[in-house]
Amino acid sequence: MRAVRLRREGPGDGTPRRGPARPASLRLLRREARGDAPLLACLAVLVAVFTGLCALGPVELGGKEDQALRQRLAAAADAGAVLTVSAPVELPQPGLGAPNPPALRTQLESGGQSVVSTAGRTLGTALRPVRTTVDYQLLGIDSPLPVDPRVTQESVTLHHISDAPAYLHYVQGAAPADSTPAGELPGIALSTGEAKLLGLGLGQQVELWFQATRSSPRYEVLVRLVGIYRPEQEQSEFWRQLPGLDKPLEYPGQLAGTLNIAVQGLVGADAPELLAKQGIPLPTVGWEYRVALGDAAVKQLPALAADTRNLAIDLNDLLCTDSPATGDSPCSIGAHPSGSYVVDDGLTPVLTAFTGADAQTRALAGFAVASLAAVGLATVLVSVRLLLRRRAVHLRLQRSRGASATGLVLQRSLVTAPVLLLAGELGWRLGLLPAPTGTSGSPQPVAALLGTAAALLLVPLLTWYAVREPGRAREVRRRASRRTRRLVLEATALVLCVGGVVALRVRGSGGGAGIDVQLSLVPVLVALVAVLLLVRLYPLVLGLLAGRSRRGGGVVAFLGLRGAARDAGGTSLALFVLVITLGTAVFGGMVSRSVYDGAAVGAAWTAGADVSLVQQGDVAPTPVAAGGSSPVRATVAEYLRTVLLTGDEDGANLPQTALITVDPAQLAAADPDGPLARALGVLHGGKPVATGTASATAPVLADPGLIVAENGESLRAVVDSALGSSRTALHLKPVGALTPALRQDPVLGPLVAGLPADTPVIVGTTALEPLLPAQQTGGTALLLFARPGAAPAAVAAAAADALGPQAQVRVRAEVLGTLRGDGLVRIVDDVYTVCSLLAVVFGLLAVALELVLTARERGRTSSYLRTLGLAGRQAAVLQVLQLVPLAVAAAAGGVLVGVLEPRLLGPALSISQFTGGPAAPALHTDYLLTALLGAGLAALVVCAAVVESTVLRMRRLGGVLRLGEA
Amino acid sequence: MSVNHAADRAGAPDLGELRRRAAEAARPEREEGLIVCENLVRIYQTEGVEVQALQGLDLAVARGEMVAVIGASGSGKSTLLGILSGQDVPTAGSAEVAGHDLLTMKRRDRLAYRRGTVGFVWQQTSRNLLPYLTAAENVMLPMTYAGVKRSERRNRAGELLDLMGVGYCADRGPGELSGGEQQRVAIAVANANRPRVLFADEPTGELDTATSEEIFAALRQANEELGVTVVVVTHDALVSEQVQRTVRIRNGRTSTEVLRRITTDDDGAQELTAEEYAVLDRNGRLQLPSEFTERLHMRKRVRLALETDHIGVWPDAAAQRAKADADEVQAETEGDDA
Repeated sequence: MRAVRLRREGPGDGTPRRGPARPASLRLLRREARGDAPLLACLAVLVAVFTGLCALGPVELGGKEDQALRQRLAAAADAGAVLTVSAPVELPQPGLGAPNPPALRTQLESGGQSVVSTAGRTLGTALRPVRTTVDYQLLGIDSPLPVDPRVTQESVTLHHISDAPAYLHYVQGAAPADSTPAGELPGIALSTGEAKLLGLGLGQQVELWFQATRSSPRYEVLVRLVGIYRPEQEQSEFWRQLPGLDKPLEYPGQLAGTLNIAVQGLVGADAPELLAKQGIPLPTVGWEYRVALGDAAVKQLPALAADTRNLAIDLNDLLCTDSPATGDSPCSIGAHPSGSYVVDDGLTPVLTAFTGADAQTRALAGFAVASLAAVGLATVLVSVRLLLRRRAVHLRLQRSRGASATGLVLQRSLVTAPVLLLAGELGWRLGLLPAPTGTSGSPQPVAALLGTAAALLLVPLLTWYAVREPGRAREVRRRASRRTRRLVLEATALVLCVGGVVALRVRGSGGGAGIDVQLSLVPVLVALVAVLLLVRLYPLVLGLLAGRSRRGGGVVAFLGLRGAARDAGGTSLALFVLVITLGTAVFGGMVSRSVYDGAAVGAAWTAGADVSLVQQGDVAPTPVAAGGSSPVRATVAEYLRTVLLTGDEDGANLPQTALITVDPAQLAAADPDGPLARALGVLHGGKPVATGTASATAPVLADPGLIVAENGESLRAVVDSALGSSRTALHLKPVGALTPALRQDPVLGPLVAGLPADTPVIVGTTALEPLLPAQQTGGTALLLFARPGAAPAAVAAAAADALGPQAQVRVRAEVLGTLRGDGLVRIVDDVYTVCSLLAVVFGLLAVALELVLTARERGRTSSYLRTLGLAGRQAAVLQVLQLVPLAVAAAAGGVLVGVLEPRLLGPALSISQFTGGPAAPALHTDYLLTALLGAGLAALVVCAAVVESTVLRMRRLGGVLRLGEA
Repeated sequence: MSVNHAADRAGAPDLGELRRRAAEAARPEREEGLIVCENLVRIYQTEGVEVQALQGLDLAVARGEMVAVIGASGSGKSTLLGILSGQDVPTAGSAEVAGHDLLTMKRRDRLAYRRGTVGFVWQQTSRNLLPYLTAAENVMLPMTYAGVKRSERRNRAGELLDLMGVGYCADRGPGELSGGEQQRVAIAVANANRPRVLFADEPTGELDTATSEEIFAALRQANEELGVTVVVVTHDALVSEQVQRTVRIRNGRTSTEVLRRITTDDDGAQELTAEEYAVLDRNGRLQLPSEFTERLHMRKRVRLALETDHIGVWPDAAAQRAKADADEVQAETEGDDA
């Protein structure tokens, strides 16, 4: 050793002597960053993915929501015009001396434009004219006389439909002229079927008559058949909406064995003036619109709903003028005076349904997003822990060399912050690149900043925790023990979880705009509590197993299980990540499965059978061929009427009730195992039976509430006829309760679905039909059960006219397809798929990092055991065995959380918005998926353990020994 | 009888003064030294078990001393070092280093204490130096924290490395240094801010005997050349030969001290003598070396006898009988063997 003379200076006095403390140099930071590169890269990727998702996810989600809304609007438009504005127009009649206004046809377009310009800005922009119509009331046909002697009445409704020519092919003659030459009769056109049924030929003159009321004058009108057409583009929306233009309606007349015929004919654009000259003054002008929303459809939804609600008011405010003299408000269509504008709003129900479903979609998506965020944050936490663990020795060294805690925190932050900020910025920009423009969603910079800030803050926080100054002696003594702190943490998590669940159950998942934070956080808390319980419980189980294995002589198993039990607390973060990841995936699978199954129930409820026809009013269906070669196996007719009930015993009035009559024999043949079919057996045919002097009493199944209200006594039902001209009274005796299960029988769906939810229902048999008058407010449904293998379309075609052309056809398969193909359902599926996949990636990363964190301890144990003579293979088995309990606990915990969570949340988690149906759909666990997910996750963890043990086995003896000594 | 109370009052202390004097008289006399620990207690919990690492330890180290604290594993020596280095806080008692009360020190004072008052050398050679800095940079690092000017840092680092005989390693990274070189650089680092005390925790634990000699030479050089007080903590009893005073810790208390001095006889010959002393604390407690007590079968009770110039410690009657029996058995055994 070489001696060197030093200046003898006094030892230090404990304070800096030449200036303030300086932060670590840039060079030092650079070198530290180089050493931390792998973990910094890991953190950077996590932050970049997070900010990328914040940039892309909401925009993509918004685009999908827009698409779903547009899909629903298109489906509504296909089913019929979404919005129809109509007004009865007054045309000058001959001899009244009124000035001749311009032809109505010249005013129709401008009238339609007025409607659009009057509508609010959002609605006005979205309205797309479909057609303009001029419709007349029903006209009787005087001549020619009916061909069929059974026909007692023939009638026609005349229409001018602007877009009709595009969907017609004239097989004879031509379309009625829009400018009929002077002196000629107004022309009409009929379909081939109609003309044939009426026995009309081209050029034939037809005499029509019209009488508004019995006291009104009777007008006779002459028209000429100028064209006979057949449909073109039969599958088009036009023919779905207007089938009556092709198919005449034949229905039973008032007298037995008689028939009535109703047809729809087309007239030219000048028909209003020509018919007005013959005394028919009041056609109704209608403008039908569909609504087409462009970009950012969902964002426009509130304004659109408001505009739609206000449309009728706006129209009548702007296009009508108050007349103080008469007290009414005459309106106008161009130069023509008109009645008030009426809006047939099919849009608001669509928007309302979408708003509810969208809120539920966001709530469900919030679950997945929150879980992903929690997994991401946990992964960041593990990464930072590992980063600090690797630097622990250096930090301690720097601390002892005089570095302040603040300086070290700053130093670590200076190393990580630029990387994380750059990664965040890069992720954000990369996320924006593929993000579609013009969607309702917008990038969430605040969320991205918060996520990045959380990652940024974790580094200084954990660094500070690692290098903080020891407290003063008194503080140290007072500091709560670790056991107490753990108990406090567990109790806090439990209280928060229980509170969150209770609050959610009380308030429900009332959807608002954006993601519900409380609803999103509860699953995370549930997972946290599950993990805390697991960490408490599974070491006990492992202890028991270890005891057994010790008695059984399995040293490796004993050591592995004991090691796993001891490390249980240390692996809680990995367990949390795995549990929440698996829980989210299982939860998503359950939601998906429940929606899938619930949609089947909803479709069955909506359609009632394979195919159903639903018509307003009580209509006797024409017979449908069933059995044999017909695609229809069986049919069931059912009728709905509104009745007023009073108790026979106490005379108390009961709420307005729906009376449904079903043919029990038909139902038993069609659906013998159905609950309603079996229950109707107690009615024994349901024929009214006269008892003494009282009028006939019919047995029925009644709503339990009605039975309780009247102590099971009979009820007097009053049924008003269609025009209110007569009343029928009969007595109903409840002989059985219409339990919820019976009320939810799909066969009642087509009629009950349209009733308010709290309407009491009574079900009787069609034996009552002869006693009951027809009601316009009622409904008729004809359920068609398909022969096995028969196509639903064939079934529908076989009975297309059974309830007349206006009947609504519901095909179960189509309803099901619509429900399952709904854009919002796909969003839920997509969000869960993406979030689950990302969570699995993050989770595995977290587990891998956690394994690295705890590898030293396991490696030390196995190295020590190897020096005692444990074989390499046994050491590897031990290594895997130490991690298998973690995998099993994670799989069990994740499955448990995923399965229990929806049950815990109860009413807060409603998926009925996606399924329809009579009640909230039952939650169905997808057991196969759950088992696969659980097993897959466990297998992945075990794989990680195997890889780790393989790496350890490759360690040479020298390394083993050194590790053992470390 | 008349008493001149006024005269009494003029010469007599008042009540407050009397109380102050009483308190001073009651206060135990404090040891003198750069490092003074009195009745130091440190209790901590590990895995739910309460561990009393220090159980009333007393220690005094004078300025400029080079002291070794030795003890078996678990005796509390590392806990003591943790407290003295300002990285841990005692549960009770008092600890003072260079005027810093380690119990009442605030965070800022603690930082300044680590920067300027104490320096450390640890057992693991690789844990004394930051691996990504060169030897010179490692020496400059504490000076950076203390706010020493850049040019001065460089000069000082060079001088220290030269003093430790590793000047040629200035631009090498720790990975390029041998264990001995690393420890010498570590001693240079520990002295960078001119500390008053240098703590070394098993500084030769990973080194061979020859290199250990070099490290102790470097520590002695720092002690002598730089005037820094050196406290070496080790479990290796042989280390005591390298220092002037060795303090042994047993069960969290100082039990014995060995003082080494060179004596010169009448012929002028120098002889290294070592005398072992038991430590008597302020409360009169004394730890008897275990080899003594075992040899004399002293257990639980001993009999004390005050003589004119010493105190005799005798085994109690049962122990004496046990000893007699043991001697008898041993004699018989030896007779048989013969």
